[in-house]
Amino acid sequence: MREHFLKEIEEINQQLLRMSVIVEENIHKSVKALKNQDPKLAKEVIATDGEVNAFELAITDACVRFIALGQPVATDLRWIVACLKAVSEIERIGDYAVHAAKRAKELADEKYIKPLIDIPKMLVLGAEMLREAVNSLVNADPELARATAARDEEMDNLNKQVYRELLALMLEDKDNIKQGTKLLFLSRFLERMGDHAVAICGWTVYAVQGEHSDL
Amino acid sequence: MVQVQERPAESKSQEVRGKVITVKDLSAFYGKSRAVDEINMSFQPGEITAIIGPSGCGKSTMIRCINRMHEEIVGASISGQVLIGDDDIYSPETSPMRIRRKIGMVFQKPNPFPTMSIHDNVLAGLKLNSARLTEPEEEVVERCLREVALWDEVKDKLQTSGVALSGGQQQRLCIARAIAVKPEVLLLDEPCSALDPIATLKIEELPIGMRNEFTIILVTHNMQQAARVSDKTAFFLGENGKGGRLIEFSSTTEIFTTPKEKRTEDYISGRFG
Repeated sequence: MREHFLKEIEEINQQLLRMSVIVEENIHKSVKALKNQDPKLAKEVIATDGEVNAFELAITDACVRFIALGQPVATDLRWIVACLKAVSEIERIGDYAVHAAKRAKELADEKYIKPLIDIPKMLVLGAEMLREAVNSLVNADPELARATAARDEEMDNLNKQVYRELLALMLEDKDNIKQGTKLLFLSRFLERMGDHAVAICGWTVYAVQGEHSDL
Repeated sequence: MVQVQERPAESKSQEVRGKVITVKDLSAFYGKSRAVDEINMSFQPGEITAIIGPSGCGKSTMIRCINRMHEEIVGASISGQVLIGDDDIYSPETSPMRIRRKIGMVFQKPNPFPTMSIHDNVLAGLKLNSARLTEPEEEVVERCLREVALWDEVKDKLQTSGVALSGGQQQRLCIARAIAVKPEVLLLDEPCSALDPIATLKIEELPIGMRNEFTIILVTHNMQQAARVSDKTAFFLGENGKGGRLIEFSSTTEIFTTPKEKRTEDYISGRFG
């Protein structure tokens, strides 16, 4: 029984890793699409979103099957609940990568009102936080979860920096408002990426230590 | 930090009968072999306590010490104390028969008296104890059979033999017989192990409805049953050939979601046992 149980757990872990790798790749492609104003690459990201959504459903089904047939308790039960919650968070992060790609597509033919420096940084940071958060869950590593969650401050600071700069540019010239607003929304979305990664970290701590903590 | 909510205690708002059972330094022996080792715990009225653990960990021996059945086995003995309320049941002045009147027990296999009708089975405990009935016989029979949700199924055949019933019905009849004497404590020793899932569910419903009437202790191999039925769970384990010890005793919610002891976690999640 236990061997069979462990195989199921390993399979769900592998699916979570595969899903998060796709989202991570999408984030990096969105960075490139934004920086290089490459609408073709942006479309590629948008097209992959269905695959991410399919992963979410497949992992949810696998978790439900595991609960029904394995009747997990204690750490196993907390872990499967954490997976169910984490898979939704990963899917949301995937949506933000798609948002970034959509903005890249929209802005592909416009001259940027400022060089994009901090927004790509936020995307890269979001991808790193996602990878570490999912690793903390599949490796049952609460220390990594706490360290990853602490990086959200960096994300918040980048968001504030982008906000300040765009506000100044929009005050300077009202022609900047249209693109400035799009970039402001994008920055806000990317800041939420960090929050979703932190939520995954919270579920890791719950799975391993059985407590809900504010990270 | 957010606290995990415990199972709502329905009983708290109602009057609770039953008595606290306190077990102090209890060890039980078969000859020189120690079956239960230095148990200290208490069972509260208004609560169902499940005892879980692998075979041979002393679960059944432990509850047989509570109604002094353990000593009926040749060579068996105990040390330590068991108190029901303030009564030390092992004090020299206490008669085992008087103690057993306060404690109903239901066993793995249904054991209605084969030569008695359903009606007489319910009243058997009262008659054996020569108890003076405070209510008419028929009312006792109906009340007890209703309490175990058997009345509607047998009301037209009360004079037929108890053994003519199905296994699940026989077990409910045994519970009716046990509660007819209005005990303070109800001991259930794997009461569903010989029953199919539907009969099991019917039996599982009973202690939940009765927890205000008796202090209930349920020994079970079925961990899902302990999780479904009980308010508190005690995990027993016998290690290295020593007697069974109490490893962890806590609310059922805590035992099945965040057990403190690794050995509890290993057992309930199937890593051993």
